[in-house]
Amino acid sequence: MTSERTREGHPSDLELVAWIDDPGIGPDLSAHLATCDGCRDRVARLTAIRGAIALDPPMPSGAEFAAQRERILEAIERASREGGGRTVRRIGWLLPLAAAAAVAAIVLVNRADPPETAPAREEVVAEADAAAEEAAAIATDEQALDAALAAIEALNPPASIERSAAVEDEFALLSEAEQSAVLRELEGTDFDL
Amino acid sequence: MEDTKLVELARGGDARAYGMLVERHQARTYATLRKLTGDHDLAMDLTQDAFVRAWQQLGAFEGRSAFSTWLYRIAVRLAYDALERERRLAPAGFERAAEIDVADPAPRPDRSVERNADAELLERRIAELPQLQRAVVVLRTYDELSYREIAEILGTTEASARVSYHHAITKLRARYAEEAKSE
Repeated sequence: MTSERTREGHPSDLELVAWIDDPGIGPDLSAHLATCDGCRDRVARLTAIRGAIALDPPMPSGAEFAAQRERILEAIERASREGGGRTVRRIGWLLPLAAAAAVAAIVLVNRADPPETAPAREEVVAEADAAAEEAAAIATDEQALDAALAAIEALNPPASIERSAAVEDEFALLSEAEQSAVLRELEGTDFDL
Repeated sequence: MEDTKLVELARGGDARAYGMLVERHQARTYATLRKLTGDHDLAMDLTQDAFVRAWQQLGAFEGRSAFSTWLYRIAVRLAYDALERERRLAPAGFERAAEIDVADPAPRPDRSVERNADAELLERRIAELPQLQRAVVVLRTYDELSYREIAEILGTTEASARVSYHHAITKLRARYAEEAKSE
């Protein structure tokens, strides 16, 4: 966390958030806060934001939840009967993921050249992650901060999104005939994702 | 009965035991998904999908984390996927979450968050955060998870989660200050 202070010697909002979040490991601001009304007021406002986020959202009725439980149990019963096949609704948006798996298989099978040796993804991510984190910590303007945080996020996508994007790219590279073949192969298939 | 016992029974095919797990974690899962998406219908759909997906993957659950943590990982990734799809389908897709369920706030005499009257406005502001920051803010503040758990759920590092959280809260505070000034 940055130790940057404002020009007047007051802690930055980032320091205050870190302190509120975990006084044990955040910067020691107790002495300053004991004598600074302005910073105490900022702490109160930041704490209020946390409090507002912690409020429950509007919740469905018990009857809605009960009906949903019924649907869930029906779905898993159906899935068990059908041997574990996927039964969740909105299959439309799952198709790209299924196509992704199929296309990835085709691309891997057809690839003549072995993949080049590259540093382990974990190493690359760890290094870039550290750099992005450092940039985020020292960034003072909104644009630089967003760029740094976007870099962190880009390095840590959920696996399914990453897989989906990669396969969609592969799919786009196939000829029309190959794409048609893949889609024909996928038709009527019950994917267990 | 503890979750671990119910999971064990469910893995053996006991749907009633799984039903008890659903009942126990359903509301919290919905609430987290509602916070993440800002959309009741989508949160309901994703809650259902998460429990069905979890049932299908119970065999892969090794019990290294709590069932709830594992379930959250599935739920949050489903939410990521759903929001990502929306973003791809519409250039301004991510803004959808900010538009749903929340009427355009009319000017108010006092927008002080201390009154908690701005919860809806805050929901909009949270929905505008980058995806990782949004998830971290919700999991940390609403679900009160540790950074270790958050990192595990989001597939990121504890340090990234911590930095994202600090910056997200700071950003939310700055936006409130700007709005207060503009009125």
